[in-house]
Amino acid sequence: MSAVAVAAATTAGPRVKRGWKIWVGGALLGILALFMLVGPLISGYDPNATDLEARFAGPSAQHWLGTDDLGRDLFTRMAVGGRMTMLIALGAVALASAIAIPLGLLTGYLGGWVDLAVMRVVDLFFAIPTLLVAIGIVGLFGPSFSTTLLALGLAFWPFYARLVRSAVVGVRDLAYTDAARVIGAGPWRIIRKEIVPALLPLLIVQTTVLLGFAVLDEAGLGFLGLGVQPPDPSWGALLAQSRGFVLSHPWIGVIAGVPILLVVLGINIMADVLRDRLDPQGAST
Amino acid sequence: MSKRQFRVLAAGLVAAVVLAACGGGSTDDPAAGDGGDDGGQSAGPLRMLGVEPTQGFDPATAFADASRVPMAMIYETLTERDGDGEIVGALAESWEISEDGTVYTFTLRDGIAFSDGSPITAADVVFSFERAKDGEALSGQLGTLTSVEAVDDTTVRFTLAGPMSTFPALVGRPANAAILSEAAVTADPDYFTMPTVTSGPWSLSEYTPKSQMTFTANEHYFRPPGIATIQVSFNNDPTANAAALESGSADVASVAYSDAERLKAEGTLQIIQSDQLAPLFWGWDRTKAPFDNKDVRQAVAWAVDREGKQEACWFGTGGVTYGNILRPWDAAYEEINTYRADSREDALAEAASLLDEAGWVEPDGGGTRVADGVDGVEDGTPLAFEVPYEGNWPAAECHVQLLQQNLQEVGIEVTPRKYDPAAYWGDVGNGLFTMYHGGAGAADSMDLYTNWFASGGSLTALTTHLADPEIDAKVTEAQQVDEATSIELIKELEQWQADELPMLVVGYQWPQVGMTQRVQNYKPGVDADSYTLVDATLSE
Repeated sequence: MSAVAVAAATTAGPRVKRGWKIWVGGALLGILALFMLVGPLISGYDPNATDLEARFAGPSAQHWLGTDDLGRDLFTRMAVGGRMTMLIALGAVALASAIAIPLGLLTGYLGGWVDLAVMRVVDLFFAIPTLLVAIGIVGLFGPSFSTTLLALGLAFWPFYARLVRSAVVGVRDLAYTDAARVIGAGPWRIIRKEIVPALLPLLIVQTTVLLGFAVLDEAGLGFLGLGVQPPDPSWGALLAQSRGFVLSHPWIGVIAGVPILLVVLGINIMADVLRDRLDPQGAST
Repeated sequence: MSKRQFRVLAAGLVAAVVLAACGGGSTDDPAAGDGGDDGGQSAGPLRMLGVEPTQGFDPATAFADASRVPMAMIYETLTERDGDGEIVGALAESWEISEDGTVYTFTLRDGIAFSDGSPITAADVVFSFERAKDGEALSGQLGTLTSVEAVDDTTVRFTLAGPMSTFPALVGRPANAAILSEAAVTADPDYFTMPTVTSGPWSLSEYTPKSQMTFTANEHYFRPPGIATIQVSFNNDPTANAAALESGSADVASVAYSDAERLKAEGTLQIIQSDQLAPLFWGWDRTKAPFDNKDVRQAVAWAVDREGKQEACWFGTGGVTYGNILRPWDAAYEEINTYRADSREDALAEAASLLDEAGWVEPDGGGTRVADGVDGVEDGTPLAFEVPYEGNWPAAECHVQLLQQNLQEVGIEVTPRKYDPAAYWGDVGNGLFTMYHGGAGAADSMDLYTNWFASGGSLTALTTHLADPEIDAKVTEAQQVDEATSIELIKELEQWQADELPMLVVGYQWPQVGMTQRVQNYKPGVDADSYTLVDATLSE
């Protein structure tokens, strides 16, 4: 076998894996997105409408995923609940990014007392588990859609800010940023034109990974009764609701839990794919 | 992940599971006792799941069952209700009532003592009732008590301003009418933090906030309890109780209605239900719109689906009422069907008509009703409000969600609000809620009307906030006349509450109690007392 052939074989492996991941991850997320967007339209049910004659009905032609203790259509509630969960997750990640990225850039680039002060605050958050921070914030403001979003956003930013800051520290003294400084570029321009583009792959991957965590933590808060409040559905709230019937009607818990698993799996696969594409050196083998 | 990494992870998981399993089995053996048998008692411990006594152990101030139930285990009263609800002597052996019904003379049992062995005397009874008269829990009902005096060491005389046929029941009110040790209470300013010298069947031997409390049988109690040690672990999550019973980590716990049905069918546990008078109700703020208007209250009474909620949220247990509070087997029961309609459509039409009359009208195109000429309310204000419920009560969560759907059908917008159980009843008492969900117990019909609707009643102060001289007079009269007349007066009160709706009672629940097969001779009592628990034993 020639040297050229060996080289071709070693590059073919990751390509095959990436293709597989894109298809699986994309299909999972695509199907779930479709389910959330059009599910309630095709089912024709109001997610909160009760039908006491149809309580605990198993999956059937009328109710594709069955019904809950109040006869509400689980397919519709899962679809609407998925919207809630994803909106919270996206909002929380957006909020965390909006706080963490500027702070990380600033502290990493400026260093000195700004870095010291902000990183001590970050350390303070690090001393407490993320979910506990979120529970504390929900406890302070009361459980609701917006509080859950706020709580997760505020709980996630410290970790993200430290990551960005570390990356900036690694980039700010590289030759090309020094060169920009030498030709007279100001801090703002250096951050915007030199540092942020270098960080983009990291930011994209990290944001995607964080989205998976946000879905899980929303489910965690909802399961503890601290997320979206009944009768509005969210995946976490539906999982919590199913707990009361886990021994008598176990399929409700399965139906509530499987989409969480699938969406987090889909997000993680896509994060892997993005990492492989944007940072080929660190690609998984 | 490489194969090697996968193997390491799998091995780690297996090891963790094995270690967890070993750890779980190495602690207390559920069947193991804590020592030898003592006077025919089961050594125990009996492991119960319950709620924390958030209002403490002071009988003068605590009115929530969370505190009253453990207090009833450590404090005894002069009288009590037996398993059938009849008033019998507890610390009092007998009592006499004067001809005019104003003087009650109680004779204490011979040789009764507090848990430290010091004798229970008439002076302790006097001390306890003088203290209770000044406390929040019983001050209203003891309002007619003009004097309490010790005739001798074992005789105590109560003099009332007027006759009160329910006085023997009142001095047996579990926990709140407790007989305290004057010496112990006056000697320790922090006595009620951890009361140790007590008159009840058990003593509180350990209390760890947020965790558990342990009770040890009082060897000086006149009716020795069948179980020497009772351990109550605090658990605010009733959905976990069934699993705890099934796994053998608890012996007695109330179980969710959905679990009760399943467990009954399986037959591995004992499932018993208490048919105590425990009405389920909607409370409301009648001092301001919309519920200051009787038409609105009646509209809600028409719109709620009573059969549906009982089936869905209480799994068909308990009962439904369409006007009554009392149960069909109560002596003063006379069926009231004020809010029963031939069909759901008819009921909703009645509700809509009443709301129209009250000035809450449907906007063009339907949707939430808005004010149109309602006193004190700006025109166009939507008929919308939050309805809080106790966050640790799954049936309440179900009930509020059904209410939301029911009232939506007549244009009322309800937002369910899960509420912190520890703050819930305090905030109900503070009048923070427009409408709220509730459930409470009463020993009998007289206890119900005295406590819930007459001035000075503990639930009157908490929920209905009534101070109606006519109702007070009728309740008082019902306590002073012969039984037949008293029943007629209570029937009148039943009709009055159905019409006026100071609260909307929609049914009653029968708590479902699950027990392992170890527990013998136990049945839930008719009130918060521990009378029936004293008879319980544990098989080894």
